[in-house]
Amino acid sequence: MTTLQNLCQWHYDLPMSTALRESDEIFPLIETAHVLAVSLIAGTIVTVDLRVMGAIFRGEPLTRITRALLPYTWYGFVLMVVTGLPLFAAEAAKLYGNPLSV
Amino acid sequence: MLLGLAGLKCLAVPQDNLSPATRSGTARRCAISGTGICEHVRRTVGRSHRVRASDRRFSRALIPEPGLTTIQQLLSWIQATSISTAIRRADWAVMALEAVHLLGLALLGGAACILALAAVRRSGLRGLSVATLARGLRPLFGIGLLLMIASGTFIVLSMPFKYYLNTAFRVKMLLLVAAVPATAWLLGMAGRPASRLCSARSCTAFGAVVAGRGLQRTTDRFL
Repeated sequence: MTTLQNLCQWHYDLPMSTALRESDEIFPLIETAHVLAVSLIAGTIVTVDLRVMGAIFRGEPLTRITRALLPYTWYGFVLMVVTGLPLFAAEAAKLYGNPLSV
Repeated sequence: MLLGLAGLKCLAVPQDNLSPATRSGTARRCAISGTGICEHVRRTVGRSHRVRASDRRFSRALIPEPGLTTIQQLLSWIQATSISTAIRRADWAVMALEAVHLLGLALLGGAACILALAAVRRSGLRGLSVATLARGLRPLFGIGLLLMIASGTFIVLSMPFKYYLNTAFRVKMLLLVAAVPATAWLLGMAGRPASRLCSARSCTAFGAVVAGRGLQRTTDRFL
């Protein structure tokens, strides 16, 4: 076993990770927040991209759009990391074998 | 279609021809192939994209039995169509459809989040009023909803029994039916210079959309 795999297994075996993995409510609740964070990040980025392309908000200056939306991209990112860490820890050993997760 | 015909044949088998064990449900076997549930499901369904303990419940529903209700016959027919079978059996189809579904969610949910954030503040989002945002974000709502409905329809068609038996799916559909016209109406209203009442209401409607989404994510895990 590699060091990384050992680390994943150690996270996986933590009592908190096990409790989260086996919970009926907490895991999907965190997962829901995770997906909402994804949509917040992607939504704000797509909006700015479309404005750069000139597809939407043609009457508004680009700086006004970015100034309004960029903070929420970061809030979304923070929320995604905060919710993503426990989700990862709960299934770390399984995700170690998944090439898409690393 | 062939499977549909096979199903009808099974329907025609009278209850008396089945062994006592089959009737009592202790060893359920398909009336036509004489195989056990697992074998029958393997032949009928092929690979399914996720196998969970609860899938057994929907798998049992795949066994054609005497006394199917009209809705079950309809679901059997949908399940036997070539498009449904093809999606169910392909390794990548449901995954690809789910990816499109998530992309649609990102557009729709993102636009809803931005507008809801603007709506809870009196001054809008740093100089951008709710009216301006509602007008600008309308294409995102439209494209996102279109992607979600298109991909979602095919996912449901591939496993009609699974979703028919899922209570949360029904709740989600009811929320969706309520939220879409409400959101469309409020987007129209918010496009004009918006009153605060309108902002508050739009927030509620978007909340419903988000709740519906969250619910489905939640039940994905439960079921």
